[in-house]
Amino acid sequence: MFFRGTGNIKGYILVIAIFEAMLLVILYAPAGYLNEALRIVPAASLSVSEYGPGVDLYYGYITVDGREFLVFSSSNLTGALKLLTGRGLEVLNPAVGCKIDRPDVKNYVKDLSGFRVEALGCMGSFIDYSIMAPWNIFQRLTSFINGPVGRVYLKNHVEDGIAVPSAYTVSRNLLKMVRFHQNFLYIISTVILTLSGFVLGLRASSDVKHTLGLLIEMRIPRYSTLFNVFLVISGATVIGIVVGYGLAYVTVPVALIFLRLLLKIPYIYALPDIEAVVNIFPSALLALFSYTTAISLKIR
Amino acid sequence: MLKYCAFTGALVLAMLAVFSPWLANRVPYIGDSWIHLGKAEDIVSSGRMRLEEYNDMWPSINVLIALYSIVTEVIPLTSTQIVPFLVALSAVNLYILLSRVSKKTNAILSIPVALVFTPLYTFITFGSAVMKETAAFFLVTLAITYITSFRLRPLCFIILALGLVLSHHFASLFALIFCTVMLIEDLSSSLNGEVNDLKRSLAAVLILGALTLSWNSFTIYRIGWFSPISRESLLMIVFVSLGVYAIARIGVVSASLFQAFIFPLSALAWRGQLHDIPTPVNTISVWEIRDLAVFIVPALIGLALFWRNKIIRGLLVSTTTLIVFSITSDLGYNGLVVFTKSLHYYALFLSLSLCLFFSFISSKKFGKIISSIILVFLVFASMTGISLAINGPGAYHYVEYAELKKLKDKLHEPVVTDVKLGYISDYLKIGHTMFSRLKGNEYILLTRSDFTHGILLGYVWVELSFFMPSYMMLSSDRLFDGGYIKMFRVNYV
Repeated sequence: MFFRGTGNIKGYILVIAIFEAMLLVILYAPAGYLNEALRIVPAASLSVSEYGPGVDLYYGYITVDGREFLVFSSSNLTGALKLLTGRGLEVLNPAVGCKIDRPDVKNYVKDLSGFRVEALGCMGSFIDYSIMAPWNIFQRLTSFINGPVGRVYLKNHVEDGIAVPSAYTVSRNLLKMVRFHQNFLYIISTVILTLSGFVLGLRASSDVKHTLGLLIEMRIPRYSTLFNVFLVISGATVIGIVVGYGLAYVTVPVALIFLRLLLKIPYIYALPDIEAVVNIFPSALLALFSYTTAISLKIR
Repeated sequence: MLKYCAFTGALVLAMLAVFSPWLANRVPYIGDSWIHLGKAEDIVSSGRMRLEEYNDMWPSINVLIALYSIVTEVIPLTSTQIVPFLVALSAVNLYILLSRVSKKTNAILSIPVALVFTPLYTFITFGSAVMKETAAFFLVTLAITYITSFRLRPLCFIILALGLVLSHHFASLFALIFCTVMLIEDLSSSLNGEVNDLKRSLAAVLILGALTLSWNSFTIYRIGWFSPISRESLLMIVFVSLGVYAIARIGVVSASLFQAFIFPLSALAWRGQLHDIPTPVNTISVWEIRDLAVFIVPALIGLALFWRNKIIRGLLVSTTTLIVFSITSDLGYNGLVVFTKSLHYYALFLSLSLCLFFSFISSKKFGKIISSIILVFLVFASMTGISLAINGPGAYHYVEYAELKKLKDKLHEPVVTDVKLGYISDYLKIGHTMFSRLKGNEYILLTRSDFTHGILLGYVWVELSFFMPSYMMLSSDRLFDGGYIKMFRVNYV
């Protein structure tokens, strides 16, 4: 086995991949799920009124190929979208929702406005079927709107002093809490992984030493072999991170579905955040460094 | 000789099963049939193929029905049956594929029966249907068989891949994942200094990948993003396939154990007990669990025994990726749609594993008897499902079609109907809107299954009384009262 130093390179790769996968699952899956929950829970603190104060929202309908589409704007479009979606979206050009991201709609809006039209990602709300335009561009579109342009005011209850915590606020607070624990776990895991890497390196060193001895007999330079070993293990680390991310994608949702079936815990699908792959690198590199350091120390 | 007679017998049995809805009802099965029938008739009459909407963008099925109708001079309604015929014929491709995995070819002759009589779901709901996925099935099986052949001729594969890409996006995705896994396996063998087919699998990935990417990009350009293809889902499929590959590659225990988790989830999902949909379903019975166990236990043993074979690992990863993606991505309506499509491939893989189990025990004492008992059991266990499906909500009847055709000339107002009759109404060019809150003086078109199973809204069934309570029905005028079709005018809401 790898920890006895049998020289099985597959074993080394496997142990790194499993370590990375475990770390990734422990660290990132829960936060990823909660983050996704935050995205799908609407910012429920919202209310709509005919009268101000609040963020104004102007809306109407335009017809494209016989179908009517909602078009809206605001003098503070970023603020309005923040209230509607809970996300900080900045729309500088006219944009269409993901469900109507079609050439006929986009070309029509482009012809009317004279600006490039963007497509927004899906949000699971009416915005996916709507057209958004910054305030200055919306004013050009008003003449093409069927009927009068409506106006409402969006209000945030929390800001207005009606402090009823919405699911959104609760999720956000929970996410903050998880992030604290996540950082704590991250540090502990990095330490454990580094130490494990060092111990594994020490255990494997006798085997590497033996292999090097054989290579020297065959007149193959010692340092080029060491360099190649380092390259292989670095490659294994990168593969381990990516595969570990894939494992997190598969195992956590399946486990959650079983929890739903057995314990009736609601299942919320979520993608573990892609940035987890980047965040995991320092920890993985440190482990790799300690692994190779241990080998270098022993065979020096 | 006896061997080929047995295979022919199994193939005929499989064909009878997939033709059963047509033989019983004399019209094609599942609503999509009417869309493709209409498009095929349009091609026959106009001699032109349109690329205007979703069902035009994978035109193989429309062209296939039209061509068959022109060549054989059979009316397009009957020509639709070329699709189930090809599905049954896929068993020949699978036999060739299995003969590369197992040398005991006698045992794998049972593949037509194992494929069509799987208890995981009622295969005829897919195999008898006239839809893009079904038309693509023959080409998918042919493609994976051809990729694993000893010699890959690029031109032949380009033609095959083009046919596949023009048949269905999900089928192309499955084939592409399979080719990619084969490429990774060959790359790994190459690094280990083992014999490999790296060039062949690389060529397959490049050809199929390029064609899939180009055609689907063109489709997105023409009609926009279509479910389940989106940026997020594609990214997710990549990582799910990596995860599934890792689990499958770690060892035979992890690969089999993972299937032992995924299989029950798939069975529950098929029985409507996993997704959040309003369709009323009965709890899975103990007898169904017994049927599933008879199928899955030997299939898992077959998988464990032949896990080392890269073709089996390729099929394992590609089919499991689709099923895991479908279950984990969404447990709502969209997830159900993707799950249904994924199940066809997953059941295919498990049927292959079952045949491999037969090939293993065929040389053992009582092996042949055990195999025969399991096969006969599966045939009988599937009979209930098949008989339910033939008269089920997805089935149309010739009388239904004839009555609607007769009614068509008398209709001057659009009618309110469900998705099932919506398909056939579109085909007969009857103006209609979908069920929603009913209003006075609306004309309601119903069919027999609306009363027995509920009304179909997309992929889900809702009880008729939800939209049309009994008091409303009693107070409505019954304008047409056929054996299948009923038409009401709402008086009181």
